[in-house]
Amino acid sequence: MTFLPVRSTTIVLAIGALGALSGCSSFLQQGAGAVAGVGGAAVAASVTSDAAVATGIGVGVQSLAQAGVQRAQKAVHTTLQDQIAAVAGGLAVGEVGNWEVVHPVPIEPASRGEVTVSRTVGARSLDCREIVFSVENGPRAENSKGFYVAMICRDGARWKWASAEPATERWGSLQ
Amino acid sequence: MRTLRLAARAIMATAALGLSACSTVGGLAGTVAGVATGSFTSNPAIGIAVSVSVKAATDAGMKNLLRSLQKDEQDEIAALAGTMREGEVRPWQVRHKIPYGNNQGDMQVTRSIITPLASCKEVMFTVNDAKAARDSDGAVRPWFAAHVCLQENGWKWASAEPAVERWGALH
Repeated sequence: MTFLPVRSTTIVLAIGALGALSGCSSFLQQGAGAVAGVGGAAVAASVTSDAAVATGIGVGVQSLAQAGVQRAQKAVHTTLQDQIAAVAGGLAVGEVGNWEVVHPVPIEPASRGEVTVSRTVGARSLDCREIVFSVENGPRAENSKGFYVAMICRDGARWKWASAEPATERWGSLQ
Repeated sequence: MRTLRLAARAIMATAALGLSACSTVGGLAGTVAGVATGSFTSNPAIGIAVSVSVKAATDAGMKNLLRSLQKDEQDEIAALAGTMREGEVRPWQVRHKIPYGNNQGDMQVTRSIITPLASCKEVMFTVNDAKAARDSDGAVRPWFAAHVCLQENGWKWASAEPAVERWGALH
């Protein structure tokens, strides 16, 4: 009877891997949590005969794994935002620069693109810029390119991303 | 077989309750599947394995569905904004294949952003309750702001993600 959870783990792992390949981070998150939860429960079931304890361990391990993936995603996006902001910080209005990010952990595909400053905002100590940037994902040039708008503000010597979160009424499927 | 049918019926009942509590559907489906499996075997790990897998798959599916609804709305507003001049006000509406999230409101292009890289527009829009009377009720609606840019395949939503420090409960 012990081979079954192992097989289910493999199936979930395979589904998770598929999600990761297609670059679907939400599935990666779900998949990683599911794999860990199933693995945790399988291990727990071999050391305890108490179903409730095994369930608790499984769910606990699942949450830990999901938190780990979330942390990794935050790190990846911080790198990306810092890189685009740094390049845009050195540009004048209307000037176009190139940015590129290669992630050490391939949780998201390497990306590159161009960035330009569309206007400067602020007075006195507030020094912000509205930027328009393009994102090209993946190694192939024929991959479609997207354009996006964001705000960056200067924080001492560094330029940091400054776009705030959407209004809670507009979160929709974000959470 | 009976437990499986029971599980399927429970999932359908959950769906029939409406999509208002979408985020709980995965958990419920997972629980039902887990309980159904648990009645086959005394091994809790198998129950958990099925439960967690079903929950993960359902959650991912639900997120995809809600995201596609939101995308329809963004595409609609972006496409309209592409044809509008600065300062122009127009009504917008989106009708999905499933009768959920059918929103409408007014929108205005407040600024054109012309850069060497891309053409973008700043757009303000309201989201009105479907049941509310249009224009005449005089109710004050909150305005939201967004950006749209002209991409290879037409005008698309272009508001970038929030700064990571502001992700908060979003993640």
